Amino acid sequence: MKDKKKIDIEFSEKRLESLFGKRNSFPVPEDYFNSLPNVVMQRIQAENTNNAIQKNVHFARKRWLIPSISAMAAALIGLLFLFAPFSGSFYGPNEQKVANLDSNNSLNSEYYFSHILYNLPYSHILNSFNQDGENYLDSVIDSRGLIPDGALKEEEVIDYLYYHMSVYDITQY
Amino acid sequence: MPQEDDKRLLNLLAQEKTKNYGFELLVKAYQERIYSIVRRMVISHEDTNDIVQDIFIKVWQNLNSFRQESSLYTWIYRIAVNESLRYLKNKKIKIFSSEADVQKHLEQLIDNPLHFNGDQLEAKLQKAILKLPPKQRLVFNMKYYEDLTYEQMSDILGTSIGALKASYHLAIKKLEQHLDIY
Repeated sequence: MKDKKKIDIEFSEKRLESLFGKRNSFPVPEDYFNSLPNVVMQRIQAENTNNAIQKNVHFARKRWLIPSISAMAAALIGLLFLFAPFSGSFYGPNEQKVANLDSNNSLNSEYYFSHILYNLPYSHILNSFNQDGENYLDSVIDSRGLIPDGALKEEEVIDYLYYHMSVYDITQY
Repeated sequence: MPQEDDKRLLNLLAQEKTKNYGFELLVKAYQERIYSIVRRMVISHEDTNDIVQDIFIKVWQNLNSFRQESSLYTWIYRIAVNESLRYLKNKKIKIFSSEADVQKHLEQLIDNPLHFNGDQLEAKLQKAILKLPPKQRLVFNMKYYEDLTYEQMSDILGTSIGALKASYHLAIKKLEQHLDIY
């Protein structure tokens, strides 16, 4: 019974072959198989480079967190000293709000900056950098050719903060 | 491909300084067979070219996880089969609403000499093959055109030999019906 089935299939297969053949009728561009290995190797090299770039960008972005927080604190100090002589109180409303967190209600700037440094979620800082900021970061990284220390320099972060973020942006958290 | 050649390739691929050279040899050794099985599934050269490149990139990316439990040939072929089926599934989801639409689209490609240059009878057979469900079509192509044994097909597809024989038998019977050759 088993053999009959096998013979039946073999017969059908032979009949198909005799009627329609087994020819490969799918045209392939000339030289395609000569060039394919090179194409594949080039793609592999490009993907390896892309992976390296992504790793560097990821690393650069992570490293950027530390100087960006420091830069925000530095910018705030600068701005506080700049505007303090013209205001009635040394501390603005946001600083007052933070200062009020102090149980002794003492107006302590050190407390304020430590609050920013230690209590402000990183995600808030990252979210505050809009698309322009991302582009800015990318352009700086591109201009450096993604060398291993491709992270932003502190002064570049400060520049960014000055040009893209208002005091309100920084102090609203 | 003889096993000694696979061994040689694997040795070259295992060493960092000969890895690229070894991979280029691997592509040269397998490209035509992989191309053929994909082309019969997706018909268009452009799509086949994309898929074949993706297959070799996947092979490259997963070389470290290849445990040599199966032969290199079986492993590469399995990736090729999965990629072809995935492509057809994606095409169905993204461009066409049903398998019948995908089949219609592929049949139209058969009528285009850019994609198929066989005679009328061959075109008729190809169109009948396209009427088979994708997995059955794959089984038919692997056996009829690629001359793979049921054992090889079983390794590649992870399906029992009995099920493959039944599937091939059914495919032949359906083709006879579609082609009206009783």
